Amino acid sequence: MKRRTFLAESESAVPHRRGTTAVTHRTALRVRFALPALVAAFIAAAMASSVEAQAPIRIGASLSTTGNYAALGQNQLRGYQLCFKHANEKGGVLGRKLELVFEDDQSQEPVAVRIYEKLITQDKVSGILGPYSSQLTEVAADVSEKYRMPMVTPNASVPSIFKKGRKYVFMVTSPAEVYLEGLIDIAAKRGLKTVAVLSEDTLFPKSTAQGTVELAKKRGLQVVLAESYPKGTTDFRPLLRKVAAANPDVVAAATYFDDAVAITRALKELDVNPKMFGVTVGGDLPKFHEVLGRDADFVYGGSQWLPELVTLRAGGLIPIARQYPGAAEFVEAHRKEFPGADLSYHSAAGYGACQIYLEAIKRAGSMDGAKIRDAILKIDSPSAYGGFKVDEGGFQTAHKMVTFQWQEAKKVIVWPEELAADKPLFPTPPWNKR
Amino acid sequence: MIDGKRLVRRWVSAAFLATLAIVAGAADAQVAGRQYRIGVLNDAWAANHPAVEGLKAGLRDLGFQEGRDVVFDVRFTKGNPRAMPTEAEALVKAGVDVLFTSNEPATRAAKAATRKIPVVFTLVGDPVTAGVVAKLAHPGGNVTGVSSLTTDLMAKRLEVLKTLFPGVKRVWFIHDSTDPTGAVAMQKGIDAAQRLRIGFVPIGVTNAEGVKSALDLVKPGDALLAPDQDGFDISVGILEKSLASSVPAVFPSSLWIEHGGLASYGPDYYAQGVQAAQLVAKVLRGTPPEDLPVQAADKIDLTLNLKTAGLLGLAMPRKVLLRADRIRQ
Repeated sequence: MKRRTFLAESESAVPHRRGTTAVTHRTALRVRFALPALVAAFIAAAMASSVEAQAPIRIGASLSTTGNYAALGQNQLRGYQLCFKHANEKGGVLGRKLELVFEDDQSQEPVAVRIYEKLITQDKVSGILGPYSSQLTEVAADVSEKYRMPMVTPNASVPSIFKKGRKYVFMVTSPAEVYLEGLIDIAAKRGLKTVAVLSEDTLFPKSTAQGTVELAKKRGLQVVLAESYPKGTTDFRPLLRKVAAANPDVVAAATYFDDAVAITRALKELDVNPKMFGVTVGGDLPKFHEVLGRDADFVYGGSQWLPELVTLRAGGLIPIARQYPGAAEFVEAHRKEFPGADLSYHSAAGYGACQIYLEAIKRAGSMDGAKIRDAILKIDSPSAYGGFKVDEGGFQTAHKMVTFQWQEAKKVIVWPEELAADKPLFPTPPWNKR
Repeated sequence: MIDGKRLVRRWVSAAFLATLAIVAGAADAQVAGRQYRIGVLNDAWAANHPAVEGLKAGLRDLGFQEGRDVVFDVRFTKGNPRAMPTEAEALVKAGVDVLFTSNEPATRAAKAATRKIPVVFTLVGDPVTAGVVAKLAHPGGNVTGVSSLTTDLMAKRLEVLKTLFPGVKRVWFIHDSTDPTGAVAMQKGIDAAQRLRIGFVPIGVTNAEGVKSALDLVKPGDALLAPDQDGFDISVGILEKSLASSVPAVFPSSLWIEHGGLASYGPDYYAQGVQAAQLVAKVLRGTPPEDLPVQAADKIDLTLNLKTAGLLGLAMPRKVLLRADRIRQ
């Protein structure tokens, strides 16, 4: 486990930098003139106190910079880093600068647990922020609970994490169950009747699949197939032959990046032609279109946030940037600080979660875990990531999803209707007519 | 307190027979075998202006299927009224069958660009004052449409404001000084404010900087009245000012209330589009626009935002709640 620190005002914002040391204000006091012993002692004591007051507040996090979650984990990290930078530029919180201390969990649960234990008990951080993914948050939440240290979690969207009576873990995203709500709503409004729901057999995709089945039933769509596949599946042809046999109007796939790509390829290979096809995680990454090319066009995806929201106008008239305060600053800073780096909702979630956490510290007036928890529960205002309000269990109730469709290599927001500057290209044409 | 519906009845009686004829003809409005091109012009920032969405929905209900019977060439000028003439001329050159406009600059530009292609407008507050038609009952020329009744509703909007914010001393009315309807609305606002014993401060602006300067003058304790014509993003500025400085504001349409505005009194943009679809359908079937009387928006809504009222520290009187057509929690 490599330990890294990030004190934004004194370092370049590069996630992989190793062994950097946070600059504090513990400058050695040099007394150049001989003074009576009593006066010298008094001055030394006063300066020591002042130095202590100016020491940065150290916030720890376990982040995936290697392993399966490396790409999106680093997006989240960049969000944290920019949030710390901007907060420090405004003087920090509680009169002190902030220092981010993070270590690579290699996308593995046991490593993440060890990191949080170490950050809290050995490194003595004053607070923590969440890791990437529901999988890692599920185990890290036990550590935050054990030490009663509030943990705002940017990219954990499985509701069960927040339904176990825990008091110190807080959700920022919309829940997994509604990731494909836009896909189902568009399908229902266009009179489609049947849907097949596919999902990886892990925590987050299973929750999304379960929610999608419920949403489909509520909207009168018949679920003709609901099936999951093991993590790491690369050959989706057997599963998609079942889909072809069921001949659904809609294929809804709760995925990560690799399976989203593989399923799209298999649909084409087997010439399976649903009228709508949507994926979840991974489908929103620019890489999705880079890898698939024109085969990515017409694919729908659910997104928690998109950079376009900063400039979008509801009904073509009313800017909605107010619902994402600080987002424009975040997007601009991201492009400047991390040129060429992927800017996804995972990055914005990191930034927004950090904004919420720092706001709670300000309101609490201290780093006391119970006071910060109470402050978080009282927040009912948006961050750069969108609406934020949680219930007693830390479950998110205010954030809203958007649905996009790849259209000629661009992600076009097509749902909700009031934000949709363009219509979905519907129905998706058969592969042989594209 | 609020009796705009009486205004509407007066309008409706003037255009009643013609409207009946349109509705009666609606069932068989779609003419088989011909695809029509509808040119759309407004000052929105994207193609999905609610009036356009309403037009599409209205035409769909009348049997015109998009892509089969009608196609839309949508031009929007991103809040810049000066870009209207160029876009209007481009649509005329493209050979559209009818021009569908929203707001006065778009309608005037369309009228100036062609005397032949029919123009059907929405969001025009006072079509005669704006110079787009000669008479409401007999518009003459190639222009007809749906009036949003701006000048007639000024007094009612001030009444709404006074009811929600009884302590208001001064109301700011920031409007596009090049808009002739704005001048008439301003005078009606001055008259109504005198009756209601409220200070009324009209400011005409000619650019976005003017809007900002005017809003900088607004102080806590004041209130704002948004104009119907939204050149230079005046209404957006008013919405932001209202929320940032806790200054109550009343808007002309409910869309603004969905996004944080306190209250609106007037016709819905989408509904105007739906209503105008009947006129567009009639025109496409061959009726000359000069034979189609201008219609008043057929529904005036009072819409309230209770969350915003709470943020502004305003108690919502029961009598207003009972009169509201829509309430956003």
